[in-house]
Amino acid sequence: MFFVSHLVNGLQLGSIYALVALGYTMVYGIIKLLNFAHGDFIMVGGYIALFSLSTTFFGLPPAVAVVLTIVGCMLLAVVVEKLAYRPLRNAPRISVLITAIGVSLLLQNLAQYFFGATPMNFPTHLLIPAGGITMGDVFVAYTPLITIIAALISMVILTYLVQRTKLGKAMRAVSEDTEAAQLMGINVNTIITFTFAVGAGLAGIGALLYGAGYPRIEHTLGVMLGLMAFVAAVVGGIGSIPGAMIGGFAIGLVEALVTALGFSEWRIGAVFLILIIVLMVRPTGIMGRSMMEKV
Amino acid sequence: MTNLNRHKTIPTPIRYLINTGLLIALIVVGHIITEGGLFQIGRAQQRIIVEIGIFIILAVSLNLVTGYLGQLPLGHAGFMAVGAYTAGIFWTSGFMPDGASMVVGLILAGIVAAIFGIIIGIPALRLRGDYLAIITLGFGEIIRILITNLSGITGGAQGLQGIPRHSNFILVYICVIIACTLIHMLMKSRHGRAILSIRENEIAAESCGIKTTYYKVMAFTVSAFLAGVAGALFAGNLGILEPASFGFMQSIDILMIVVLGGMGSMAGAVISAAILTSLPLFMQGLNQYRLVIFALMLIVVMIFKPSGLLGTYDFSLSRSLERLINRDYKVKNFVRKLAIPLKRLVIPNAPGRNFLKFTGILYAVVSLSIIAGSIIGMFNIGPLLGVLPSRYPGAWQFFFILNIITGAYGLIVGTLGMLFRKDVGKAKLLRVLAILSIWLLAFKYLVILDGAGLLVVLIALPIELVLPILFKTGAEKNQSAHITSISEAPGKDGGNHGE
Amino acid sequence: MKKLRILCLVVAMLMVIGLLAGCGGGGGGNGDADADVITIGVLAPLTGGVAQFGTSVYRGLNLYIDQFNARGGLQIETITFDEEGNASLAVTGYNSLFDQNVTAIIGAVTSGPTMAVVPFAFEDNMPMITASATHAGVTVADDGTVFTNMFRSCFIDPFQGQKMAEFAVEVLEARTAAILFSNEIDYSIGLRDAFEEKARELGLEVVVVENFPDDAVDFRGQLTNIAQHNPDVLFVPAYVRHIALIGPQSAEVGLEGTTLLGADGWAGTVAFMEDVSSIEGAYFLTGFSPDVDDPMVQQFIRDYQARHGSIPDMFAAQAFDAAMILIDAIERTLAATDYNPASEEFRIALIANMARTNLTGVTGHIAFDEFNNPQKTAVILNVADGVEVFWGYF
Repeated sequence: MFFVSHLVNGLQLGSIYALVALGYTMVYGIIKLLNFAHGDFIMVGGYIALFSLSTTFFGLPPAVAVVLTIVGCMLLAVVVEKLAYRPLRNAPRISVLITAIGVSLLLQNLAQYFFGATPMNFPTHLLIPAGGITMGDVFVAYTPLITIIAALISMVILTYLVQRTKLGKAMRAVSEDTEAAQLMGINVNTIITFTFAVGAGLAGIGALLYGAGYPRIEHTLGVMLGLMAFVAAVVGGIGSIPGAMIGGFAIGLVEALVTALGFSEWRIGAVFLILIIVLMVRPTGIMGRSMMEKV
Repeated sequence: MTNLNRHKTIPTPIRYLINTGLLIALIVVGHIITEGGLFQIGRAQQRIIVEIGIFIILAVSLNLVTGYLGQLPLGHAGFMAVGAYTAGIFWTSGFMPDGASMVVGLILAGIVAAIFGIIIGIPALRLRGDYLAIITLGFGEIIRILITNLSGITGGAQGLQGIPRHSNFILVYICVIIACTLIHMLMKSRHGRAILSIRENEIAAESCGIKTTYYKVMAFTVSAFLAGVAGALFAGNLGILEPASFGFMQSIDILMIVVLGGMGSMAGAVISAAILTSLPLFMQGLNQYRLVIFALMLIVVMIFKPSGLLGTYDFSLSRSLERLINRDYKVKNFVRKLAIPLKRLVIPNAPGRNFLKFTGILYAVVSLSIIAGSIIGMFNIGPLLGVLPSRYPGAWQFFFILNIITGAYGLIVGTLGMLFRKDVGKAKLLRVLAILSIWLLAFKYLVILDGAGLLVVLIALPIELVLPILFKTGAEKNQSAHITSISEAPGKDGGNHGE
Repeated sequence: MKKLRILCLVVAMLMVIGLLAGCGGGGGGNGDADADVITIGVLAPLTGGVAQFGTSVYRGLNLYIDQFNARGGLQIETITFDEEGNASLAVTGYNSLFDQNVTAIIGAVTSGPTMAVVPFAFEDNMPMITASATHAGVTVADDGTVFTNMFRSCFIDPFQGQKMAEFAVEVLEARTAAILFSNEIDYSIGLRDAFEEKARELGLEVVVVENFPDDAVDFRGQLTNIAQHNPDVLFVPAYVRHIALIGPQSAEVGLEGTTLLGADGWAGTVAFMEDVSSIEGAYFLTGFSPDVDDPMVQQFIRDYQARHGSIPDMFAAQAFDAAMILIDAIERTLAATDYNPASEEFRIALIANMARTNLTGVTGHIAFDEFNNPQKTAVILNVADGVEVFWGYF
């Protein structure tokens, strides 16, 4: 019975990691940029969701709040991409990374400046009803259940988008070979912006589910979450969408397993250890393709 | 016959003499300042010189890997932690009598950190830039977790107390000198050239027979060694240690020093370390905005001058003296170099199209935020958001109204600037008006010393000063408005050259 | 065009001058012979990872000082230094405040920075009082020397841990207990150690101990492990931001039969959480309760709420009392001596007077023992019907 409980924990955590990791992986796949600020997009999404839902602020109906959060995250990503990342399209890698770090810091500190340092409580049950289902002697609350289901649905939709639509084809083309895609008449800039937006949209969903499951919104929310999700993306194979999903669930389960065994203080350490091992043994990750660097 | 070779050079031995003389002068002055006496400066300022020294060593050691080697490790604070705790544990164990234990502790700290450097470096440096960043970040976190959990030895979260305070100015100064000399000599040597070649093009270097892995690990290890020594000095300065001081944010702080100072410039790292470490002390009133501004500066500097503010420029006293001796300076040149930015500031010389768009957006956003802030203050919406101050006495209402008016003005000008950027004549005029509006707003805010206004000043002011210098539009080549609008080559974002 | 150029140059120059003038601000406390104004330094983290505690402390002490100043007579000025929760910066801040001739310092907020500063303050005979640093080492060094200049208005870690163990055994008649603490927070570690030791003494069996990192949001794994043992009580010495998550998650894994126990870090949890049902029935120890039927406490809560729109938490209340203690001692010192408040003799006399403190604040009666720790009565609160109910003294 407790095993199932731990399993559900791991899957819930893993779902959120997977959603966030998808955003990382899509952006990396297309412009080879590690968007350090991705976790902070979720933080902003969390605040948007909180302000929309909570009756102390705007008290909007949940459907509206969901839409607002997703749209808000997408907008933020598009703005950041245009202002901070696009000018550096051809710059050396190290500069782009530092800029991403800068954006992350900026978002965090702006959030602290505007919203204060005190965490705020997310009204979970305005979004997801309390209670759960009982199967035999196992009780699973609605929150983890809906988290896992919502994440899976999002991934299915994303896979459909990428594999079956023309837009998805364009995304895949740009990530394979940007110049060739351009020669084929694909507007690279638009596709890149679109990719950012989709990644951020997923982050928005992740923010809602995160707020529901871990109802504390603060300006440092994105730091650890982003890091773990990044590890998930790398472990799964960065640039690969199924890889991000697998990686996300894997990391979530690892964390749950380590805690279940009683070593919760080594949780983060264990995750990084796995990252190091994966990077040593198979740097392109579980599902990644080997990329040859040409002169 | 023209005069050949009138260029006088200073012979090398004399150069060494000059440098040594300078160092001795600095140590004497520094000692007098910190131990009291000649200049009446406060104790905080005295102590901060020691801290500056520690961060100089940290910055210079990170610069070795970031600036000279071209990699981006994000776990530098981990090495600092290793060194700090090694020294702390060694010093508190009372193993050796005080005098000797001080030096032995430092060296031990450096060595242990270097060992960690090798252990981490060998696997990590096989990876490419992005992966290296994350894996070093992971290692930094693992070190912090190890320190927290092995509380038997390290005191864990409750901290390691009672470390004797060995770090005085002389000790730190000597360490700084040794660190800088070491790196300088390394870079001037064959090994240094190898390291630089790896930065320029790793594959080409490898194909020329340079053992890239060896040099990468070497640079990494030296950097770790120095970081460990700096950590030990840090422990000796503070007296207690806690794992929270060595987290990811500390690594980012050091990275910011290096990036803002100039990656590849030791002088830049030194100056940057000095300024950034002492900022919290000298700008207490603005602490809230400090981090926001730094983050912004990081982004702006990366977009406009990716090699950092001072770039790869390295200061050499002998070289400057040489120039002086040879009268290789022209006052006119010097003044002109100074005047260009000032002139550009005041006279909008053919602003690049994108520059205007950027400034226009900036003014619009800043004005909007001023308006928003004023409305919040005026109608006391502050308590609703629960974070902004809720007490604005009646007299401030007047200022709020003024803000809204000037904010609207700035907004209009900014928007028009964006819209009319293609009409150079109007653009010029609008740019002047926009500048004026920001300055007036800022000036007014300085009178009130209001937070939001200071934010305006601190964002707008450096950007206004710095952008014209960094922005390489056609204005340098000619002053005519008509010609410059054609001078932008197609496909380039006006002025965005990477270094 | 030329006139425009000149105009702009003039404006630019005015700007630069103005900026330079503005930069000099932020300091300038002048502890001179004017006995009507006394300057106090404040060391608190207003930005950074622990800013929420610093902000509460800052608000609490300033509320008291503003109210005190409003009564006329002696005026208290404060100079605040934001140490960002960083021990190194705290020492810099201390030195900076020292340079500005403050008479005493309230601070710091977290134990690490406080312990870094105390040895320096001890050498300078600078009176200090902290509202929230609970580590025992703040007033007593490792080798046993008491830092006589350092006082605090909060409990020390060992006290609370012991009390809760006693409460569990004597009042709740528990036989098995579990502990969920954070091994990254020294406060949490201290309470856990004290609880475990006392429990062992009293025959209370600690069946499982789980821990979590400070920034954890997911406690389900640990809670599931705890649920397996089905203990009578679960002691969670953590902060509001953790309880807000631990509560709902414990309900999800089926820990309903276990009574939750807490310490003063819980103060304000009920106000913070939107849905309190998961911690229904919990007991926690605090020095401060918004429900105590005391006019001073209620007035304090009303004033704080009027200013900041929320109910004060433990940090704010203790800071309020810290300011009260300090200013009370300052008044007694001013009456008894005529030293210049910025001088060292005054500070030494002030330290002596602080040691003799005997007053009642919003967190109860306060008097200091030989280690400069306050002897305060513990208040036990019970969460019943979704509100904090005063259970009694213990």
